[in-house]
Amino acid sequence: MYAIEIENLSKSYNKVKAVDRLNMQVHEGAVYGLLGKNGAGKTTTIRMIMGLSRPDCGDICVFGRNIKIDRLWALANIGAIVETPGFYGNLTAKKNLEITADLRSIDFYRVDEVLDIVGLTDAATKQVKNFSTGMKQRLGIANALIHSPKILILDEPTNGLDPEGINQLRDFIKSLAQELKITVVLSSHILSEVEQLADYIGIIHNGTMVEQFRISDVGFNRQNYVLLEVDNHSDAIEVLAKMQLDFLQLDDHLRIFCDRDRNGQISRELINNDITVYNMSSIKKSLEDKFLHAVGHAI
Amino acid sequence: MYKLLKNEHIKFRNSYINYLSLLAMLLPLALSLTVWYLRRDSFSVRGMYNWSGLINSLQLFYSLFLGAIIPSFIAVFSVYYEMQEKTFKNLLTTPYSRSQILIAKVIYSCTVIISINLVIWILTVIFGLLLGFNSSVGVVFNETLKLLLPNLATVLFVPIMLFLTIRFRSFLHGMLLSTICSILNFALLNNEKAFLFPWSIPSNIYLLLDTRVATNPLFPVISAGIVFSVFLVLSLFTFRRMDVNV
Repeated sequence: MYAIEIENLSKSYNKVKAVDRLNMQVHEGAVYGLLGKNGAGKTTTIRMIMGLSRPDCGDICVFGRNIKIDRLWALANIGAIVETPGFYGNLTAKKNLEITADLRSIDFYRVDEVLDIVGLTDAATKQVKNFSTGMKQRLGIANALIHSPKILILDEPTNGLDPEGINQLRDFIKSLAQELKITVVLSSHILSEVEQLADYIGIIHNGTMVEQFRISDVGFNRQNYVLLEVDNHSDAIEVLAKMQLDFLQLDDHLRIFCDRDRNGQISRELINNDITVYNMSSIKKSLEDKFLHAVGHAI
Repeated sequence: MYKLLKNEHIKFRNSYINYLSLLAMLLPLALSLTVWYLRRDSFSVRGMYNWSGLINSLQLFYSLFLGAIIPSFIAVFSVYYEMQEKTFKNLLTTPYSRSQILIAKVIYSCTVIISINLVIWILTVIFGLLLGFNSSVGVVFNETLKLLLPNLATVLFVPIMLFLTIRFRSFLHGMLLSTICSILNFALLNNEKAFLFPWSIPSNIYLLLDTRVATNPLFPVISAGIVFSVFLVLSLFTFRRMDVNV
């Protein structure tokens, strides 16, 4: 059973399709990175999962239960930050969390726990209007975690955070998934952010899920191609053709698509044929290539 | 529902809105009492130094103007505050239905309005007695009821204001309409069909109690009930269908 399963979800605003027949499957206990450019439909999808927007059509199931029927049950099992977290500025951080805790029938001792988890214990009695963006973001996570949800949805969580804050948040999300076995859905347009955290990635473009894959299946650590710069292109092409290699000739270099274990053989053959090698680099598969490829196909 | 109401109270207890509303409602009372005290001799000569005179002057402020503006302000702010602080999404992602959330806001706003008006009523009774007006329980009760009942009827503005704030996601529409309609109310004061106009209902109730209009006493009550119910249903319908961006 999936933690979240979406089928044919669509949503239009003024006849403009924000989400178009989107399908998505989030495995239980995994970190799922929802990747897409700004305006791709990530936030609209999250809004619909959280019941903040009404889908035009389609189904969203949380642990197999359709949110059209079991919305309140689903909300009791999901914690989320949708865009920037909002708080009552004239109340303290603790009071804000106590409001959420009370509404969710959670004991107030949990407030201190989550404040400690996000490192805001010292600022607990400070009014939220005096908080920095990073502190508000952390308070948002505390608010989302207060009821110990099975699923945590974070929409662009690093927005407004400094590099140190981003690093801390990354470690924190990893620990949530590994230690507490929480399913995390993370939306972002920053490839490196998602690549470092996610087990699964869904690429969304123009409101449609163009590709979903498991990072370990793609093998981002494997070689994608060899970049080759030589003095004599035509001789090099002849050698590569003889070796039955798949390659691409570009203006000033050649791209040879092969496994890493053939690199030595290529360099030996080139030298044996008196070809001077200026540069030979192994280029790994990257999420960027995958993303651009997926988005390019969608266009 | 109790938890929603309790948290409404926590949110607004620390905001300046309810205190400001109470202060605004206390100002006419303070002003009237001062004038009555300073000019008691002159008012006695003109036969105005009594409950009726005081309540009449207070109603000029309450039924005709502040009585609509302040309750509107309280109701508008109960929703607009959540929009301003972007906390609606927090509230809507708690396991409560949208109807429960909105009804909690209606009940809380009505409770605040009723409480403020009860404070005004009690203070009026105390200060009226201190000014030396007739202390017979029957007289005090009958006269001051002309202040209390029209003011309590202003709770009918709550669903109207909630509907406008949810529909237009703005503070302005509700407050502007309330101000314009309060001014229009002056033109309808002695109209026998004034109870059909929501903003005239409190003053219509006052005039009825003062036996200055010969309308069936049930008409403004029924009218207020219809207005309250219709706008409550409209607010619930709009709120349930609303896409929340805040």
